[in-house]
Amino acid sequence: MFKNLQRWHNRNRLKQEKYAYLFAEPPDNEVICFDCETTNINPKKAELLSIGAVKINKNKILTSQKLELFIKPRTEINEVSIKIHHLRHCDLEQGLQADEAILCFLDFIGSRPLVGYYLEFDVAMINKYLKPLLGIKLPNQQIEVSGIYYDYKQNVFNPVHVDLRFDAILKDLDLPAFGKHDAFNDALMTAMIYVKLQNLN
Amino acid sequence: MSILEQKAFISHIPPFDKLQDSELQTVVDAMDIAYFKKGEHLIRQGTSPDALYIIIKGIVQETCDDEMVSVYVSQDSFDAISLLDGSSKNDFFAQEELICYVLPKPLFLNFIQNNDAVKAFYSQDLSKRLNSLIEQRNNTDTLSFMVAKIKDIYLQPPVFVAAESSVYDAVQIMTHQKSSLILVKADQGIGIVTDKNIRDYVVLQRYPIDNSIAQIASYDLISLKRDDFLLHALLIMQRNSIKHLLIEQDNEIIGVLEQIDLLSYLSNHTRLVAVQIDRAQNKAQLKVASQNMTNMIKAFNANGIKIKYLMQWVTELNQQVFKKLYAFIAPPALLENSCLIVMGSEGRGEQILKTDQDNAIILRDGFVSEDLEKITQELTETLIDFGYPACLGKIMVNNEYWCRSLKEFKDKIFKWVIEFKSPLELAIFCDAKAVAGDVSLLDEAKQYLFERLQDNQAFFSYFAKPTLAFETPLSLFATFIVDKYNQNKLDIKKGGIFPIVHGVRSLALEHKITQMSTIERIKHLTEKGIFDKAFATDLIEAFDFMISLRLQFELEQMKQGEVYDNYIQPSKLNKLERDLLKDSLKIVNDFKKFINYHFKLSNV
Repeated sequence: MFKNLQRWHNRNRLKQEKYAYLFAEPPDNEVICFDCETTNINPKKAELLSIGAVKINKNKILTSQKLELFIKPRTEINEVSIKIHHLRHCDLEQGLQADEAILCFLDFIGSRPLVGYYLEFDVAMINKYLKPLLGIKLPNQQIEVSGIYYDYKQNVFNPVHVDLRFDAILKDLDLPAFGKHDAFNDALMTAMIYVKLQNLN
Repeated sequence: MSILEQKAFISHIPPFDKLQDSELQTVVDAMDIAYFKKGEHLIRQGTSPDALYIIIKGIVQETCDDEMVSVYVSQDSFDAISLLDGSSKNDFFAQEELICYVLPKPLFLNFIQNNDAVKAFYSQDLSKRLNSLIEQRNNTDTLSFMVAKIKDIYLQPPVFVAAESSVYDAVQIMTHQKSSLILVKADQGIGIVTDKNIRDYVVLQRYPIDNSIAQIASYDLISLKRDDFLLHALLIMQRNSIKHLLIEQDNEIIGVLEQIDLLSYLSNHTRLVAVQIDRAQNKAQLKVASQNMTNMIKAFNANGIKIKYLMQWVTELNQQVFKKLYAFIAPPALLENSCLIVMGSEGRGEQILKTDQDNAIILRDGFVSEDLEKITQELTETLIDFGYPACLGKIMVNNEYWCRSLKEFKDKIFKWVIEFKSPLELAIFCDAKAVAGDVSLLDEAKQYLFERLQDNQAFFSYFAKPTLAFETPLSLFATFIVDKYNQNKLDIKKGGIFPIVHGVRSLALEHKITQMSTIERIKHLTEKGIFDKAFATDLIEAFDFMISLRLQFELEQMKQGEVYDNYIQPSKLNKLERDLLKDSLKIVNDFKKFINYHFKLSNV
């Protein structure tokens, strides 16, 4: 009940009617898995550097329809984060403006549910740009893979410690690791975790 | 397992390795990743698949009417043939949970149309793929003596004396160092003194032995580097008519290369082995020649010589050794009145490295040789000494059961054929080849064998049965059935070579084909219309490949100082070799089906 109210409220705030499709009924069997690279782990301070996303249809990860966006940062990228995502200033010179990237992203996801690993952070990052732009927050349903994984591993009668680190989940589910950590590869691996968990449950 | 990005993963898998970077990018951009649960079907028999699958992780089984045809593992792709034909003959399902790439059919077909290298890959028959394997090996293997370097061979260590040393002192040092030469550090450069210098100056010209050695040395020596080719060294020696070269490394002399060492190195690796056998005057020389064959096999294998030529050649040499040895040991009367035969793989001419001896002597009826027991004993023991191991089943001339008169051989044949006794002995005898003595004795025995075999269908079924005795090792565990208790190896003889040899032998016996070699037998059976031509070609290539694979592992085992057996380790094969072995084993399965049907073995 409360959720619907929030949704209605969110819809009312939408500035451009062109993006009403975000609130439409999502297509069957399709979800979007996505990941962001940022300058900081605090969404309040962080700048968006890249977005990677991939569509999943049932058991198929549609890498042929992937989204990989690079964004020209407005401020200096700090050294620590460069070492993690290997994105330097010069790599992003040709990047999009943040607002352009957000609109591309919306076109790609439509009203489909969003899947991610610690999705809350990535959604907060998108919302940080989306709110001033269109007046709304992402209305899409959110699915947290670490949550599904926890439920899958946890035993109500005999609670166990569940290692929720990304690499630990990949290893436990016997999934191949795709080399370097960038937004797209992370989205792809998250997608594999999601698909596998869907089949295990 | 660590897989890099999609592009890197795909770029190593044939035929994608033949694509340009831009083409590869198109492929990568068009691919999806699919997940399949255990037991889920990817392609069903009779349907038209809409994509090519490339396995990232997991195992897929291909079956035809619930009978397994093949297994696919990581980096394998399937099924190009169904895509080209428009419909699949077989079922494909996930034998274990599967993650794979999915390449849409239109794109795949487009590549085949537009890229000759890819087209060739898929239209290649087995024999072409084998040739590309040989090319691959040639590119990587530098064992060949054609590219051997000076550092690969024995060098005389450099022994120096000062220019003012006396001849007497210098010769003492040479004797002490067991060296036939010594180097002199003189003002005009480095000189060399060999036995020849001593002979020419000291003996013939009475040069005093207390005078300085520098006066009788030869100067103007040519030096080469350690990394120069041996063939280059040989050319320099011939062009300058010299017998020694100084070998340098970092401007320092590290040794002397003598012509005799160079020649003997090269001769180990060439047809000179044949000459050595021919010139051998006694057992000791024959032994050396016979042992040189192993080095030669290594070199020729590294050179990518086709295995069937290698087999022919080794057989020829082995038989020369036997013939020569029999002549050394047997008195003339025995030579005239007997026939020495080799059987089994040796008789078929399919022995490459020395394996168990299988041999026998047929004596002319009525002929009695003195000391026969002693002679045969010597023959067997000498062969063991030469490196032909004793036969565990004692199928050797020193066993009187295998050293009999022609009449007794005929009685034996009668028992084999009419009473179904000892099929293994008959199988071995089928492959008998005369190597020394009177060939007509063996011919008569074989003639008798064929006469006894008139239309005895029950006998042939019984004889052919062992073709199916061992499971083909293509199955559940990854790609191949391997022996988990023996380092994940598989027995290529039981699993692949023996079924072909024995099945073909059975057919040859039925059709009275006198050829002994499996390949020749297949060719004659094809001429008689028993096999169709394409199948015969595949069968020969599969047989050839498995023998060469076994040889590769045997040589490796020898290098490690282990006893060679018939085991190979699929995990040590590269992708192309794995594919070829899979193809070969599929052919073995087809062949077994054929034999089963032909001899109606399910009724036996």
